[in-house]
Order: sequence, then C-alpha cells, then structure tokens
Amino acid sequence: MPDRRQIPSIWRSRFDYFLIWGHGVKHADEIIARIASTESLRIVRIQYYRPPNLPRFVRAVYSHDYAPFHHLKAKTRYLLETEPLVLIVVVENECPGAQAVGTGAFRHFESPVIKVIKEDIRDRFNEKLADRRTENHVIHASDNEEQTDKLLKHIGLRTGIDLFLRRPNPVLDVVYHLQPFTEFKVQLVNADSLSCRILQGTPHQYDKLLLPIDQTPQTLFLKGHHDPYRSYLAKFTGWLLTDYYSLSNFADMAKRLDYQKMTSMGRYIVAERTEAGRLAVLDGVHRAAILNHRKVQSFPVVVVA
Amino acid sequence: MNYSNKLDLRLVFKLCASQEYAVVKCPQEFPNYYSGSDIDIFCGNIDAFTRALASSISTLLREGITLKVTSKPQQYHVDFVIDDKLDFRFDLYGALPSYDKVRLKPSLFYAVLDARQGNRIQAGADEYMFYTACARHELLLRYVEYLEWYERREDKIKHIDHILSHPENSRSEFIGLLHRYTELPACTTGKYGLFKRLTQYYSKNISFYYLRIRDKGMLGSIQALARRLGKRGRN
Repeated sequence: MPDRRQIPSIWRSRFDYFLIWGHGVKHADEIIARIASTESLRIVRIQYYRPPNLPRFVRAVYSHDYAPFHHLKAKTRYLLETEPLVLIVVVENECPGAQAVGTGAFRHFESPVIKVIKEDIRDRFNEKLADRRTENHVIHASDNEEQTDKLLKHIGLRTGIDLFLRRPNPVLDVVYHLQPFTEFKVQLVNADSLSCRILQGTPHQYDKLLLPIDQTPQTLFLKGHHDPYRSYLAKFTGWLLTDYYSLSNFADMAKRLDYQKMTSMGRYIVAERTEAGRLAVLDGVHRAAILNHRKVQSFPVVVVA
Repeated sequence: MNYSNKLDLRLVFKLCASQEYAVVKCPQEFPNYYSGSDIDIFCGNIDAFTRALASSISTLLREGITLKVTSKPQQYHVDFVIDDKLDFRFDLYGALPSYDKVRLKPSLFYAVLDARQGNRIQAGADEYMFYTACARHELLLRYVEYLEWYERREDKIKHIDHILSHPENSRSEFIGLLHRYTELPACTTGKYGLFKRLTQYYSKNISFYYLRIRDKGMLGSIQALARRLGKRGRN
C-alpha cells in the first residue's frame, strides 16, 4: 500500500480536530453531539487538556494558522482570560474536500465540512452582544491534518495522528489504543463468564473494578436504568474514556447489532484472561452487554494471550 | 490412518470463494485431511483472507474447539485446535516464502495468483470454485519444497513422486519456469572503493600496534618496526 502521506488529503480521509476553549466547555455535550451528528465525521478521541501555561498553548495552537500574526494576537487576546481547560475532539473526516477561503494574506484552504460545523457552533454558543455574535470564539478547528498532528504532539501524544493509524492486530478491527498482539484465539464464550473493568472514583483518583457483565452500567442501561451509565459517561468522558460514547448511540446499537456480520469484518469482542482465570473484556463491552441482554447463550470472542 | 475431517474444508472454502487465493501443493486427499496436517495458501490480501477464514470457521466452534491465529510478517497460521491438540492448520502467505537453498524472484507469488485455476467443488446443494496453483507452478513449488527440506525430512520425496507422475512435457515446462524465476545472488566483488578497502585492511592492524606500543613503548615499537623493515630489505 502506498504511504498515506503521499496521497493528497482531498482524495482520502484525514484527521481534524475541534478545540473547545475554557469558556465553551460548559456546552461540551451539545457541541460534541453537533459534531457527531455529521455523517462524514467519526469522532476518534475526546480529551480534556489543562495547559500548564495558557498563553504558550494559545501560541502553539495558532502558530500553524494562516492569518497574519498581528491579527492573531488581537484575535486571541480574549482567550487569555478564559479558564485554562480545553476539550479536544479529534475526528476522522471522511470527505475533507478543500475550499480556498479569504483573500490576500488571509487566503488558505480548509475543509468545507469543518467550516460549516465550526461556524454553526460559533453562531450558537459564542457570547452575544446586542443580539449579535461576538468574535470570542468558543471553538477552534484545524484547517489541515498537519495542524492536528502538531496539536496532538503538543499535548503529549508523542506519535501524533499515527496513533489513530496503528492497528494492534493486522487481522482484527479493534480500537487503536489496545496493546499490539500477534497471537489470539477465537473461542465460544458464555456471556456470564465475561467481566468488564469499570472505573470507580473520580477522574483524578480512580480504580478499575472487575464486574460481571450483567452488573455493568451498560447492562443496567439496557434494563432501563439510565442514570448509572449517564453519570459514568459524564464523569469519565474526556478524562479516562477517550472514545466517543453516547446514550442515544448505545440505544440505537442495541436495536440493530448484528454480531455475526461484525465478526465477518474482524470486529470481535476482545478479552484477556486475568490471573484469577476470568475473561476481562478489552474491547466490546457494549456489544457484550447487548448480547448478554438478548440472552445469547454463547458467542465467538477473541481471547488474547 | 483414518481421516480426521472434523472440519468440513468444502464449507470453509465456500465462504472464502470471493477472495483472491491459490492453494499450493494441495494434498491429494483434499477435502479429506489427517489430524495435524496443513494446507499452504497464497493470498492476494492476507488480512482479508484470514478474516473470511476465521469468520467461516467461527460458525463451527463448539465447546473445546478453538481457532488460534498467529501472525508473522506476511505469514499467518490459522490453527483449528480440538482439546488443545492441533487438528488442522491453514498456512497463509502474503508474499513468497523465503528459501535457504534456492533464491526465487518475489514476482513468482503474483504469477501463481494470476494463473490460478478454478476447480468446481460441491458443498451441500451449492457448487463453487476452489482455486489452486496451475500445474506448472505447482510442480515448481513442489520441487523447491523438496530441495529445501529433503535433507531434514525424508517424507518430502512425495513431491518428487508427484512431479514424476506428470508427463514429460509439463516437467520440462516447469524446469524452464524455474530458470525464469531463479534469482542469482548479487555479485559483491568491487563493491567497495579503494579508500574503504584500505581502511578495512589497516583497521585490523590497529589493535596489534596498540598492544605493541603499550608493551614496548613508542621507542621500542619504532625499533621493532625498523628491524622488520631491515630484514625485509635484506631478503
């Protein structure tokens, strides 16, 4: 296969980011829902970041921008007054396209999809003065993949966008953040023999509890008790849960999950055997909860060494 | 020896029929098989083929039966294991395997896939195509397998028996093909320039001179060198 970087980004998917500034974080749920509602965008990571030095972080974010420096300086002054906490939403942009916008020194290319969402969010959540939107933007977005790569490296993700391109196993389609493995077994597993690691405590002081699948917040949600799963997501999303989950997506998935079809595409539930001999799910807690709720006796699961 | 046949190979390959593959050195007893035996498959897309294979076998999984997948670069093993004992192995290749005793051009792999031949197989009420390497590629690969392993495994003589069971003209055809796909080792004479060769030669003597200077001192070493040069002059 040719190197991904040698293919112009208008002919392939690319990684973009949305950055919600401190004064917009209170609207995070609505903003994420707006991004997720776009068909051509797939959220790959949600992460809070507390910049140790806000002015330096603002400079780092805008150092790859195309606007002249004096303009950026004036434009970003308001950010120094905001809370030093940002939320970064990285998306895979399936149809990036490229549109030249602006004139003179401001002229640059950007993805029309990103532009539309960015402006929509700004219209809705930027502060208003005399019924007009101020230019104190709650959100910033990337114009190209290089900016995404630089931002990820700046916040400590050493490999940048390569992080999302890594495949823990060449055969299976599993989440990018699993440890790579070259050997696995596919075996029939009873739903009640599966356990899941569920976070307890706070994002800054937490513990992972190994719970049987029928006691997880996901299974409780399927039984109609929505609060445990809602509060679980509210507490840990962006901190320890960096994948995108939502109640509506999970409810939708519960209706139309076809696990056999997923396995034909290499999307198995992945588990590992713990020291106590139990099977702990590494990827596919939601799928396992659904199969358990449907009373499926046994199903194929990938067990890694 | 009885066949194992715990796995219905006709059903397994039915679900892989849309993949680009060619079975090479296909056992004569196929679709029957003995416990512990294997089958070699060249795959156009090894990842996609493994997914299709694993998916088709996972529908046959029962208590005590597991499917084990091991991946090395361009070679995967998909093992059908019953009660921790290997029953059947699919040996998948994404590129031409490397041989110690003969060097083959990598393009042979794609030639095998390109010239694969379809064989009609009946699975239940359905009929589908099962792909194997064409006869001349089959003979070539069997001959190479024999060369590679016969010293260590006498049973590899079966490949020569198979070749000899073919008519004379197809044997001469595969020898021609072998000639075409055999790669000669690269010639290394004159690979390095004069400077590199001189440095390589003198770097070997550095440790000798270091030890001599350490033991005899600088003056003693110069005297020893002078004596040696004097001897060489007299000779």
